[in-house]
Amino acid sequence: MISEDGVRDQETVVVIDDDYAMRLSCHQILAKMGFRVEEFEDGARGLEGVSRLKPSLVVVDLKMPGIGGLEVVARIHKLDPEIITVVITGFATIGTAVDAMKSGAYDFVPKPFSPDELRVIVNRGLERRRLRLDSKRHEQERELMRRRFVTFVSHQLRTPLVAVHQYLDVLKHLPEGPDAVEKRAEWMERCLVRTDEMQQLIKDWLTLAEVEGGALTRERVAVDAAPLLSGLVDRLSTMAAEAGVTMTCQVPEDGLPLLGDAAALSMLFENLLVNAIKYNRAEGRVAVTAEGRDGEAVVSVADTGIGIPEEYRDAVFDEFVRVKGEGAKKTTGTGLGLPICKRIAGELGGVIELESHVGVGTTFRVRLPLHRPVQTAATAGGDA
Amino acid sequence: MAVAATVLLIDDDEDFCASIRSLLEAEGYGVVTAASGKEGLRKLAEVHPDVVLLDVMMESTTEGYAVSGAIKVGAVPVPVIMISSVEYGPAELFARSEEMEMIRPDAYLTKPVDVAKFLDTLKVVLARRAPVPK
Repeated sequence: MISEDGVRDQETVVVIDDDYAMRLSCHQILAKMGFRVEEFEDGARGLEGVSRLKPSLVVVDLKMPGIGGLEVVARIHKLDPEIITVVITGFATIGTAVDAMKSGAYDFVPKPFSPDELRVIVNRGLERRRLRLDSKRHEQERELMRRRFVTFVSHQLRTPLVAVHQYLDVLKHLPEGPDAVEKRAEWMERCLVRTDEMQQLIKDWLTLAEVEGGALTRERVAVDAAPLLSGLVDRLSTMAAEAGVTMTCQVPEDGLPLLGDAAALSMLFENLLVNAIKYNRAEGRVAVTAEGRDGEAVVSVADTGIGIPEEYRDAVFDEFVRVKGEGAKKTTGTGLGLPICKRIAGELGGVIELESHVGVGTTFRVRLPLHRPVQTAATAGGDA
Repeated sequence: MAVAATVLLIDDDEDFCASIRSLLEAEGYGVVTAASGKEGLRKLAEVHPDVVLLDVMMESTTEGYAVSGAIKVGAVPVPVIMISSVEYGPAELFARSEEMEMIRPDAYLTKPVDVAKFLDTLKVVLARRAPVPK
């Protein structure tokens, strides 16, 4: 039979046994499973072969002249602990099994064994190797992400600090005169803006950490999103008016019941509304619409801003990504607002999507499960 | 009044550009700024500066290196002073590979720049290429 999956064809298995007949039968069983099989007749040649071939799995006879099986197992384990070793033993006692395991063997097969017995152990061993390699790779990826994140955070925190420091240091060196007086006044304002930016960054960063830890979204109470949204629109109307942006809000009259944390939900929608105002054009519009359909609450926040270029559409939900463009240049932001929104939506069992047309506008759509209180008091927790 | 030399400052932080511009103008330099690597390379061809001051982390984390590379392989050699808050030691970084060696700037300063050291470095780098300003 040919192997079931293509990956296995790439894998190498080494057999180390001084018994020709045993090597041959192992070779046949393993080759039929689709492996590339290499065999060696003693421990020394076997170890040399293992370090050269880097196999996924090694079958080792325990009793061999020269370097013994236990020693071979120990050296392979030292060479690469991810190589699975299976020991063949003629005298399968608890004692030898324990010794082999102690040396780093994965399992052992007592002689005589059927092809099926070897196959089962080999498959199980390789499955374990795959899982271990996968988790190792994920660990490395996480570590890389973490380091990248630290670099980003320190850069983001340092940038406003550098700007402020540079203003102060240059002011000290500028020759006195009307020019310096004018600069001083102008730059003091800029220093305040930049220190505010740092404050906001630290605040958002902490919020993100809280959402991540679940602390912000822990509470599960019935929240009506309809008054929540119209309240937010009212509260932000001054900001919108200052930016020359008109806001409209359309929510179901009989309410939009959600189950979640009121503060987190409010933060989620407020972030989206503030973005829609900030990244809009003069005389632009922000349309908030909400409806319940198919068990879902769908809240849309549509702006008439510059739009998000295609290459940024996935990345805007990542930390510290800010779309660079003519319209966005003058806008301050920490690049953490949308990651916070995405996390909150996710924690509450929902998703956030975006649709954007460059030069026309962007619509963010939040989908959250509708909360339908159970009708009969006798049955509890029966959300369908 | 003729300027001592023209400086092209490529940095995406408006405030950093504003303070450095004032400092350099007070010292008699002509200053042109660019907010991205792309804009910087365009202005390089337009204004033919005597020296380029270059930030590293702009839209991408290594944008400055790419710009430095483009300048170094360009037809007209312009000295580059890299100004960045990137942590690791530049000497070690540029010795890492032949590619990095190729884009090695003429000088490297850490943000925020010390004003006296910055002005000295600028003079030294400009003096290496005749004519000497001032």
